[in-house]
Amino acid sequence: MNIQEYINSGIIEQYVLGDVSVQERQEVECMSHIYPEIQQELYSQQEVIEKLAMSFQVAPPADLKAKILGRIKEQNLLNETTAPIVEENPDPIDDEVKVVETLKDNVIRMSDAPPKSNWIKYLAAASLVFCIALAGLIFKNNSEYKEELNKLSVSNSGLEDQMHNMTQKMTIMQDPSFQKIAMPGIKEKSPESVATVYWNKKESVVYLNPNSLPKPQDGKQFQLWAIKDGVPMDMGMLPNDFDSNSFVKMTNIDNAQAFAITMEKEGGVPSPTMSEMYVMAAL
Amino acid sequence: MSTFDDHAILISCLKTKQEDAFEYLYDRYSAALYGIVLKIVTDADEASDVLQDAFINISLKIDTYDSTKGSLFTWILNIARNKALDALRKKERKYKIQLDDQIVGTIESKGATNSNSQTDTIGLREIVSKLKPDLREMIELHYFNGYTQQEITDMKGIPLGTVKTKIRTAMQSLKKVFDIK
Repeated sequence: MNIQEYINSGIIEQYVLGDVSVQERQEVECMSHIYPEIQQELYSQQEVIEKLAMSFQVAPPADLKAKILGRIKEQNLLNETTAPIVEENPDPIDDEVKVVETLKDNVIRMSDAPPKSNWIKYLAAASLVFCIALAGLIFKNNSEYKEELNKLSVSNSGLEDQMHNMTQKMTIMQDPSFQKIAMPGIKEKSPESVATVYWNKKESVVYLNPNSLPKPQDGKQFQLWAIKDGVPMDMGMLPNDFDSNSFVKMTNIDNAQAFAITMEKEGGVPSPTMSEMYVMAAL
Repeated sequence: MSTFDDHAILISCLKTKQEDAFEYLYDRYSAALYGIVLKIVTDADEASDVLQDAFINISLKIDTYDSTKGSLFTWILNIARNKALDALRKKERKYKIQLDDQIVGTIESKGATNSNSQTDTIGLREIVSKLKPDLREMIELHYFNGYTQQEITDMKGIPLGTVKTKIRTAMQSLKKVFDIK
């Protein structure tokens, strides 16, 4: 891929229109940092959006100005007198860290959450190296690209992903419409295992948190089941790269009397092997 | 002329929380931000609330603004648009519009009333309206309704590649009509 192909790929449009993942956003910012042509394209597309916005101008209600400026003033005064208390919408990372801190005690295991300051430092230090490496990869134009890019991104945005997952988790855990179903280990098979299903019955949505399930043996994979009217329903496979913090979306189900996990051959089976049941919970 | 026409000065004054800098920002950009917000949330009262939130957010986050990533206007526009899309999503969740057809229907009718009923300010809008209908629809769905390319693909039943191309073509056409190099 060369610079022109990169521009033609449409990624800059996506960036400007706000439809990029964290990883892609970082990529575009890096690329525009290094290549003036890309930066030029980025700026001119931003200008398109600005013009577009200008073309839809509508004067806000007259009394709004005083209200808004008043609130800004109020809030600035507040910040001056009480230092860093931010009353609303701090940056998302703050939010996540706060949530993690508040919930630390009653939630599974959150100790992997890095403190914010380290995270920022880490990103800053990595960013230049990352930009250069990334540009090299994007223009290498071969099939290794995607693979290496993935590797690179895993190491560089691993923490961001972690943050993202955590937020998702927090949202589900805090959502009262999700029922938490802890599945204890089967005594004969794996007494120390625990796994948790989060089930929004009304919307049929199911998430699985593998907590302390062991690593599956080679060629094997965990499969989630729901027992509905006495019949085991396949709820999907747990990807083998899971860890205790994973939160995996499983197949939807609207009604069930029990949930269970069995270890099956990779890819799953149509009906569960009862002797391979690791955890189970009846409702 | 105002000294704030120099954006470097404006930004540093915003960062030190000078009131007249915020006033300048408001005078200069509130109509553009309000217009976008109104187009997204469609309700005037709600648009006022969103605009208020957006300005508070701007003043809270101004320290994080990085001019190498784009102009100040682009930055505040993104803040306002995101706030508006949040409000829209909240509303949609509340009404639980779930069927795809229904969503498309709502948007289409919403889009239509919007562009007709609001007071035009500049002839630029006319230029935008000259975009081919399918390209305009892409920009509407993507920018003003906040649907991702993947969501548009699912909703309209057209391939992702086509959606990407249409959006890119739309942006390139706009670049031409706005005379941006």
